[in-house]
Amino acid sequence: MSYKDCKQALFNSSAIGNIPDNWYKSMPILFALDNISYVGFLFWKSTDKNISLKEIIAVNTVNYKIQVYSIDQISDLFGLTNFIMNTLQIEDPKLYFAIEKEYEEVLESIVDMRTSDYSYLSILAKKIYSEDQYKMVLQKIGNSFYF
Amino acid sequence: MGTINTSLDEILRFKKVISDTKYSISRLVNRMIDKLQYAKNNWDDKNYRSLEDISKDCAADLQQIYQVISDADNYLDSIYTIIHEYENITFGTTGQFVSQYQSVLDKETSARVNTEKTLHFQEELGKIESLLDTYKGELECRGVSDNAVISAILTNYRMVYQADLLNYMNGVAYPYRAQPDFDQIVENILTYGVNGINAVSDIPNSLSQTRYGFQNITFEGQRMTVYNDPIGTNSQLIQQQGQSRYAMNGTCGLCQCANLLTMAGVPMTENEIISRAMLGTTEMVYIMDLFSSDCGDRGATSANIRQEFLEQQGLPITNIPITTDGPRTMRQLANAVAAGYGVILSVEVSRFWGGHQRGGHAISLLSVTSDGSTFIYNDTGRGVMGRISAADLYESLTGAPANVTTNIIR
Repeated sequence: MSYKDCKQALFNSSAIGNIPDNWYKSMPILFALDNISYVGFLFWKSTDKNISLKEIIAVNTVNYKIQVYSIDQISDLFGLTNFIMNTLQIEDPKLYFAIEKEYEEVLESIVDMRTSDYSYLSILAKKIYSEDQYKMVLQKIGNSFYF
Repeated sequence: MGTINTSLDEILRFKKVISDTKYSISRLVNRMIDKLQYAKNNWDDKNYRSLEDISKDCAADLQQIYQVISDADNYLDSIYTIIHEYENITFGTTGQFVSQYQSVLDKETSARVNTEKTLHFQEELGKIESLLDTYKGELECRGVSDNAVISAILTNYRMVYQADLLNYMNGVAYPYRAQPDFDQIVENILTYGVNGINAVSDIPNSLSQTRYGFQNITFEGQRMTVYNDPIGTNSQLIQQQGQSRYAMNGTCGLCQCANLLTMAGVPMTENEIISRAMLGTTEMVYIMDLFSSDCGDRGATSANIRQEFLEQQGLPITNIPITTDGPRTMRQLANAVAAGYGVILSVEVSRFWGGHQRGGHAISLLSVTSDGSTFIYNDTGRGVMGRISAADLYESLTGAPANVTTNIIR
């Protein structure tokens, strides 16, 4: 398993080429479905002070196959019903991106099986996602990885 | 539970009837105004005055009817939503009914209505094209044979009618538009000539090698050796999006498509590229989100849609995947720019602009330094031409593939 290979699989997919210009990609999350672990890349759209979850492009960490989940499918599989939530306001972009970078490095270590420090992953996730996003998306979808 | 004596399909049929009725009323009012104008210009007696009074009263009454029908249309939308939810209610074992997928239903309804609207919109665009064909016939039978002139005249009417249609689909009544006076148009052509309207090539460049090399410039106070003349190039391009006659501001991707065509020798304005995009595939029109209540959302594209669209305009595009090896990707892009290929990139604005705003955006690359360390770009979102280090640009990329012209264009 390799996080870099998961990311490259995303970049090589036609799915990412279908993402509209005005959506953006947040830091990926880990989740498991039917005993298979995935790296999920979340795509959002800003609406004034809120954001709306639009799609997840998930990469199977074993065979790197791509699965696109629409909001209908996310609702079916994970029980999410509200896709509009508060966003975290970025007060200090430099600091924020540094934390994002650290989060991604920890996530990469976990996917590459060099560590299983999910608690630190959760701590960092709470700093780069709003409370709404953390509770309504990360904990609902990646409940075994985010505390 | 009572029986509901209607179905979703029936409601959609009624909505189509309402839509056609509103369109008919708008056209009727316009025709009445037209006839009135004709009478004013050609009738000498006071019968014109009586006709004017009657027409004004009729127009006022028709506007009231239009408003009532619009209100009914909105009411039907609410009924549609309720019935859609009702048809999906299931009863749990405890006897309490559970409304499943509440927000999903709302979104499903919204998605279905948008799909219906998109298809209806494309149907109406087809009618505009048919109308323009008749205009072409009118001009040709009056002796206008220059294709560039006909094309320029029709293009202008196309943009006007498309913009009117888009506004109408978003709840704005059709404005008054006189039927073209073809005799006057032809007289103007004969009197003033066709200066400024020249046959412009619509075949993008496909060169065997780039025409340009590297030169020293001073940019933002820094001396640098860069490919071609980015300042001169940028002056020919769209620099600020959202300046068209269409009610849409989220046109970064379309503007960069236009900019690539301009760089390839086919000058293109924001109006023209939007007009062409409207006639694109259903998928393209759908992704443009033309019926969003926010003008800032309208006009969106994706990397794949841009590839397909530019190829339809005669500019072949290769989508180059971004790699996890940042230096490698940036070397690829630097080599492409320096060899004369056109490049559009998808970036995340919080990183690209360095601020608090989050969202996706499309930019094009104008130039690169000889060592590949710095890029100069065109950004229609902020209306600037700027420079960015290769490392920072890589961090800004969303991961969507780079649109790179398959052929050398400059």
